[in-house]
Amino acid sequence: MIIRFKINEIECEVNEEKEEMTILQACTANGIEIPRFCYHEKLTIAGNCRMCLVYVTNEEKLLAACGIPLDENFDDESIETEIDEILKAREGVMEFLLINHPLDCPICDQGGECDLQEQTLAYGLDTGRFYIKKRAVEIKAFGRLIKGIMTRCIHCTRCVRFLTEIAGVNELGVLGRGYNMEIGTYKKDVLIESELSGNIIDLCPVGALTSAVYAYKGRPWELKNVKGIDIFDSVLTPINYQVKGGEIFRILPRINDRLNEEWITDKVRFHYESYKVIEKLRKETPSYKIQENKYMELSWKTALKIVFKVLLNKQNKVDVIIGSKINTTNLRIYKELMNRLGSKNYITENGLLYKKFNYDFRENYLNSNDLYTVDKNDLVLLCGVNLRLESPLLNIKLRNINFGDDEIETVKKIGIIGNKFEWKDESEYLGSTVNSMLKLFEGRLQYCQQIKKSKLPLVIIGTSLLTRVSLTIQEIRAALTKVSNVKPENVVVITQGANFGMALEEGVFKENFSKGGNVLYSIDSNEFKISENINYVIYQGIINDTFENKIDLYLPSKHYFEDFDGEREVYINMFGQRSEMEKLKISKGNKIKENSMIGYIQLMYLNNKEIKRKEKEQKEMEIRYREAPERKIKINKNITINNIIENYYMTDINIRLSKNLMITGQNRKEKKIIEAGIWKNKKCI
Amino acid sequence: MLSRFVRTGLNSQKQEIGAIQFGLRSFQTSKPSLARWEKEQDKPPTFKKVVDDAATAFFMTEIVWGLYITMGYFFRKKCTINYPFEKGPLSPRFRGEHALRRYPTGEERCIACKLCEAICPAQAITIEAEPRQDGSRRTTRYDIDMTKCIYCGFCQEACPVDAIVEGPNFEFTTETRLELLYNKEKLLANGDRWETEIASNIAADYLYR
Repeated sequence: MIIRFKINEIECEVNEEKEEMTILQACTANGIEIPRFCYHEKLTIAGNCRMCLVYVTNEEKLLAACGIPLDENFDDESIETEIDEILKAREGVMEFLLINHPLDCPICDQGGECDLQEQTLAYGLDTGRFYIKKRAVEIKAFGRLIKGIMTRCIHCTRCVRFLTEIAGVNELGVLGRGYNMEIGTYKKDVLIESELSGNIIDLCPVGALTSAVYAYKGRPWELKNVKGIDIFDSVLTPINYQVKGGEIFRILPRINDRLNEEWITDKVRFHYESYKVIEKLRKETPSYKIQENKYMELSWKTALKIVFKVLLNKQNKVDVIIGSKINTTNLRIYKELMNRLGSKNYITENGLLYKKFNYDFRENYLNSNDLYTVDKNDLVLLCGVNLRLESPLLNIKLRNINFGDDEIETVKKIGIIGNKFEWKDESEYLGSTVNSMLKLFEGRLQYCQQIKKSKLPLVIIGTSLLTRVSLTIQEIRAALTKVSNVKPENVVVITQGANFGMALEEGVFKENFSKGGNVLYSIDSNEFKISENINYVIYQGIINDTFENKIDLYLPSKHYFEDFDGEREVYINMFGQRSEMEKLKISKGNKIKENSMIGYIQLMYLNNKEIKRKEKEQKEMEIRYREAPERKIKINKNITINNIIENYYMTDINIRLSKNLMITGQNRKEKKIIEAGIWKNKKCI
Repeated sequence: MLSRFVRTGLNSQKQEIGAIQFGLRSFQTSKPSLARWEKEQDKPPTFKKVVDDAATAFFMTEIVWGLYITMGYFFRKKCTINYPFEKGPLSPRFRGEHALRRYPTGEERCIACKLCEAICPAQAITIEAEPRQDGSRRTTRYDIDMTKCIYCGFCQEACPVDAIVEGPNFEFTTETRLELLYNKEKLLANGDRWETEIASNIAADYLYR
């Protein structure tokens, strides 16, 4: 049925069968703004703030627009949002909200972007009438990352709804009623154990939950937005760096409905602390190892001469390992460089995990299904993937499939092979070893019947499965399609690292890399162990903590967001989508150079020298085709498919160096009672 | 609007009349007279003027009148002051040199809300803030570029805690420009120095704020 109604004299139509709409949604669709506190597009409707009252003809009372769906009762009715009665009601609501709200806007970090401030200005009364004492609520400790000054809370329950519905942890709740109502943890001093906990800071319409890392540092009106992407994850979430004077003040999500909706992980949100630490710790000039722990400073000219000597020495076999943050231009440059030197020993940091990887087919590393239509899938199988750690944002999408499934008739099922991780109750655990995986392929598990029944199953394959078992993605895909009616595009491979897809696209990969040469040229790459063959290490990058003492020659280079020509740089995420990043400058040392710059210099040098001979050799190498030998699959059935990420807060140097993230990581691991730093101290307000 | 309408109306009339209008106008106009600019001296003197001039010269009325005024000021109360030693009165709203105030306990008032920085039309104020050791919100840097400042007084009006004020001091000339770039230390020192005057000024003006 098509419902026709009027909003403020504008005629509107809603087709009830096609789309379900609330009054508020219809109003925003027609460009009429309705003030709200508790309503949020991505969360369920609570309807407890009463700010969105509207007048509907033939209704005795004013209606809360956020919670009332437009149905046939609204046919031929008219909705009013700007009449005196509504304005008065809004004033009343504002007055009640402000009774207990403290007047500490000048020291509140939300000031300038506070919904309560703005709406008081627009809809509130100009004077206060309450001179009774305001109530005060205890400051609550939610860990090192979130500061909870709960006196400012207006009980919209957005944070509670986000954590229970989307993040899937039940730590926050509403305690007490009426005057004694509080938002808090049920036990005292409990950590919010979610990788997405930082999002409640953005959700909070007032300054009750604010970022502890950003505390008291900036104001929203003085910060400039620079577009960036989250490089700790292969989803490459769009983010905004908020910058003032060459310093990152905070990081906020950029809204993208297909990828991240409005959320980002804690890792990105709080990792910017490390850039300040790096600025202090890093060396600004190239340095050369003389003895153990003794380094000599060099000029760039001599440093590059040493590099050429090492690279062009015929006895040396050079391995190049490229860090996971290095961007596309640099991937190309260093591939070119190594090709001209005649060796093909280049790989990205994440490529090191795989023994074999068939990157001839794009479908093996770039997924066409980005889980946007995950609602249509009726069965999900997770194979060797801890989605919560590997890609928390995809985890959210999957979690939301059967939220509130009591009403949905077809029961959706989730099967997990590999490490157990915290998931909802409906999931079925099929075993942790490879053996259970093989059983599944052969159809020996009970679960296989359900897979056969389902019409649109979705299979998610993690890196740990591909790295620990000598099966390729194609083989797994073939086996799965035999057992069930999985479409090939519904087998999603979760990869690690920001530039992994782009590196394979460019061909930066080598099979069985660990048997390589004796010289290591690491370009901003930390997360691996140096093999014993290697006797000379060149590290070109920002700072190193994993093999710091073994570095023989250190070349300082810039951060990944400073390091490209032009204004923008393009990365490719694991769904093959393009994501852009703008240039941002924060390094202060004059002598630090870009990776691309160093690469170009080397290329220029090589153009002049004995390169022609080597180019010939290379051409001959390229002509030789490989014949793929038929291989017999030998599988050790008892290997357990473990998590590839042991500690979520240790995966990158930037995270290891940001203090607050590290401490939360440790606390979560040890299940400690949290220390909230200075914020627990009540003197601070 | 109205004038434009009238003007267009006239124009349309003119267009209608056309050649006739042009003809009339050419008859009416004449060469502008320069009578206004001619000096009176150049005119031939009238009898009355000759007699008046002779009388004023003979009786020295102008000199007598001038002497009368000087004698009047001679006996009146003097209005000049001996400046560096004596100073004129100042309004409590006088906007002079800036100062950062403290509470009686010695705690600085400024809470780094950055409202003064935001409102400053000359963008003379720069603030950097961080949580202090005890967790309170304080500035780590509070600079005013006095060469940029236009002494509008918006900063003291924006301040929610009366921390930044424009005090009664107007004698802060310096030999170099560099000395006019005030930092937090200098401003707090100013506050300590002028606290009694500033406090009394604020007290005098509280009814109107």
